[in-house]
Amino acid sequence: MDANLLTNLMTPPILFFFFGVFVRLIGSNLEIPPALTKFFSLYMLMAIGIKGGTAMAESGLGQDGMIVIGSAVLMSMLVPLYSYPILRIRLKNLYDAAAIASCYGSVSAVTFIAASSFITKLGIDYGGYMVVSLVLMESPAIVMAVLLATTVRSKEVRGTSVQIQRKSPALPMKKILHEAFTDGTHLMLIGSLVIGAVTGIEGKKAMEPFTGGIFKGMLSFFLLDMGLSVASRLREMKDVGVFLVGFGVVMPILNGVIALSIAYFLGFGMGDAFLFIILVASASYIAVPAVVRYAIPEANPSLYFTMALAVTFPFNIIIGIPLYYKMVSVIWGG
Amino acid sequence: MASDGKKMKKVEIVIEAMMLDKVISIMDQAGVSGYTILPSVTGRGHRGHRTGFGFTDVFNNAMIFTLTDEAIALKISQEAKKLIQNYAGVVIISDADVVWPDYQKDR
Repeated sequence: MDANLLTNLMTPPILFFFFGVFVRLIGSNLEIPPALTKFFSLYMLMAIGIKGGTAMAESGLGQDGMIVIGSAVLMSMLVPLYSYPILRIRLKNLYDAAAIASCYGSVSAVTFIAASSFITKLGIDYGGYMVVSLVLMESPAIVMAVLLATTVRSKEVRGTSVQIQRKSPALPMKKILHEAFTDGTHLMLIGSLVIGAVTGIEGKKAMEPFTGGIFKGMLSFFLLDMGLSVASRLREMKDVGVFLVGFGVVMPILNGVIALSIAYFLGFGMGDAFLFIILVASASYIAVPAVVRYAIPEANPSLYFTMALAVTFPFNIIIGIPLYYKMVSVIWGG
Repeated sequence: MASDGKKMKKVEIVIEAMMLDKVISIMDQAGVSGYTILPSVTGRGHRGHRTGFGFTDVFNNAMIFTLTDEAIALKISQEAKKLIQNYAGVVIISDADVVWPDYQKDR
């Protein structure tokens, strides 16, 4: 089982990602209509939800699953907590620090999909509960960020920080939780997971041509689109600055190493450990920015969105996946 | 330009797509009788390029406009102004000659 950098890079979906970046950088008129982009991302969530749900129906949750899910939820709360003080070292706008911390506590479904395809190709199994972890890691990170932002706001009210003067009142937590749980992409994943779990093997068969057969082609199309988007965000990079770009690269590795240690001490299986690392190391650029824009309007979306999409996502896809796999295979002896 | 239309105020609001519902409720509460929405508009302002992305609404803008009297127009603009302190947007009030102001009565 040899997994070098090329194993991951030389697959059609990843090459289409690079193609998308290239196409945008040379100023081509290749466009994917926004409505189709939305469809592709919903399709991805449906496919991964069905896969995870049907796998759970076959193997059940079990004690292993519960431990993995519990660790995943815990990490999605812890990552924002230790990311925030790191971000505060250089960021003047503490709302930006809270919003970025939230994105990094949450997950990227596309990175998860790319990583699960990667190990499936290598013949390594993982539990269907990994998709449950993916689902459950979204909201705690948002709640943590909102709590951090609330702390910043209350300090501002007391007059200890006067650098930002924003007057709109903060949204109540109930409203924010409603936004987080009813977010379309989040619900799509949960709905598909439940439908997969309820219909089991029969459901898997029925959905196979759609969520299995054409999956790689759809993923290629989606990653082409991601490449186009990443390249068009590159011009925002100068606003992001060296510190935050550095954060976007170093943080996944740090998070990955912490996740690896947890997976090792709790005795995760190899596939579960690898995907657990991927979940903890990735950052959200779809669900979390959509909710954080409501919840922390004082934060600049160009920063947190660009970092998660144009720095951490490509880093994880290109370097992270083979790197984390290498770490796992050394320790688990794959 | 000579016109026999009724003088009204046109309120145009460009706002982050995800805050459109909020603007609609501001307009409803102010008492407008109707509005027109352009669900996706793009452009550039003090918050940078609002180019629109398929998979997130964070960088999408929408536009809504309505024709109303001055008092309601001011009410809407005051509320909408609070919103654009934190979100991308523009609020414009202009004079408008409405060619067929009584269409509801004519129906």
